Amino acid sequence: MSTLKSRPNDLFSRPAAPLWLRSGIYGLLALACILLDHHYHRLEKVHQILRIWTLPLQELARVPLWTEREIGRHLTTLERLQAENNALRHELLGQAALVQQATLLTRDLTRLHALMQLGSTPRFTGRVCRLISSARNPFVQKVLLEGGESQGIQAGSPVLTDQGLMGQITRVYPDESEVTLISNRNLTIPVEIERTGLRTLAMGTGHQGELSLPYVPSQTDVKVGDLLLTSGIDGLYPRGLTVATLTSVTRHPSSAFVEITARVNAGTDTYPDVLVMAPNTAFQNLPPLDNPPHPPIHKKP
Amino acid sequence: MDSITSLSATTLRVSPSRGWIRTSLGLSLIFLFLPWEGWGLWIRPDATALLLIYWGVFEPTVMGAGSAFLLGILSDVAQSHVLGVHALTYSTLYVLVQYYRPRILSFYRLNQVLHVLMLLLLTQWLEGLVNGLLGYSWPNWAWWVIQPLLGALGWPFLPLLLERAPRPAAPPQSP
Repeated sequence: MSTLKSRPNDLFSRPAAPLWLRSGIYGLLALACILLDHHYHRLEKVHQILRIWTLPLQELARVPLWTEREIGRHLTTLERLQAENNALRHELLGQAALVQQATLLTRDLTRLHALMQLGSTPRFTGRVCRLISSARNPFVQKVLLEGGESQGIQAGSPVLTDQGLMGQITRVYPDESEVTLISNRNLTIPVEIERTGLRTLAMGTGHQGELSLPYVPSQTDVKVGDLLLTSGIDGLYPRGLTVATLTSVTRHPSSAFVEITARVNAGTDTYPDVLVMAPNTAFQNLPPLDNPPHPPIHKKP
Repeated sequence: MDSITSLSATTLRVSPSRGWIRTSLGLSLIFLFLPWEGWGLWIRPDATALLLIYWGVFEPTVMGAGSAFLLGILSDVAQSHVLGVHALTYSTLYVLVQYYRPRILSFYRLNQVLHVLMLLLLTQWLEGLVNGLLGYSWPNWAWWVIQPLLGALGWPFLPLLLERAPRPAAPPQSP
């Protein structure tokens, strides 16, 4: 190593450019970045490039967790695995009946749709991906997934867990993708209440696992414990995915709307694998307008 | 423990190599990416900001405004946040550090903690403010106070981690 050597630690000499100028330039640059990224969304390429720089550091930070998981995997006892296996088998049996019923129902539904000359509902297809980590920032409700552009994952795809809708792919890197959770404040999902069929919008609150429903009129029949499903009218999320359960319903006499909060069903901490669904292409292949899909109801003789 | 109470301005230091300064900043970013969850995420001290203050005070020729900006951008990318939030807060922190550097150097290591606490609090509050203006949710109270507090408490122990001990029989440097 070098011998005793100190860089000058002087208190009095000043650099050529004044401090406010040197830092002011960077401050302005930072402000420009915020504006371009947050408002105009023009920095996606920069994100992609800088991601390559931070990736090795993030991989290194994952080592402790990975080690713990691997050790845990090796130490899993036989009994525990057998118990889990049994439980899964029971669950599978329980669902087999439902699945068989579902095939029958789907067939009937297709026939009915054909009778009514409606397009058939698209089947759910997807790919199982593993969660890498959640974004290490309390402000953003995002998680990272294994699998990205090279695995054919597209931005806009809905992401599910076994308990329901988790979020939406918002950014795709070469080998990873970023999921914005539905509790994120920038996300709005069209939902319907399962019990009554009422369609409304659910918005993320920015708090973990919490949604709010701001546009429900005060005379509406809603109760704590009602289940929210996606209504499918935006064409992004297919209809009927479980979203959340209502946790509080407050009616103010002075307000025209009910104050409703809901708890998201899909937790990120329950299971390491999620299902990324193919983005819904049904809305992109709409038939041209001069060729109406529905026959006119009243035909003139 | 000697280094905790020593008078920083007069102690003979061995300047760390540029490589070590960069490595330490990289390590602080790794610290940021550790699997923090739930409450841990709210009270995780900002090690990068702390190191930025440390090197800004003791190695101002190495740690410049550009480094602060770059660290902020990398931190934003890794946290999947809006690009530029940390770049702005770290650039501001750099200005404050350079402004208060002579004053910080004139204090004992333990007394410097209060200055560091103030710097970290201001950075944190600026970040909260910017996030609020961008429409993110208001963080809970622990975030505003505990993060900077934990960071400042780490300050006296930084020399133990970052500095090589000066050699006992170092010959005095004559001009």
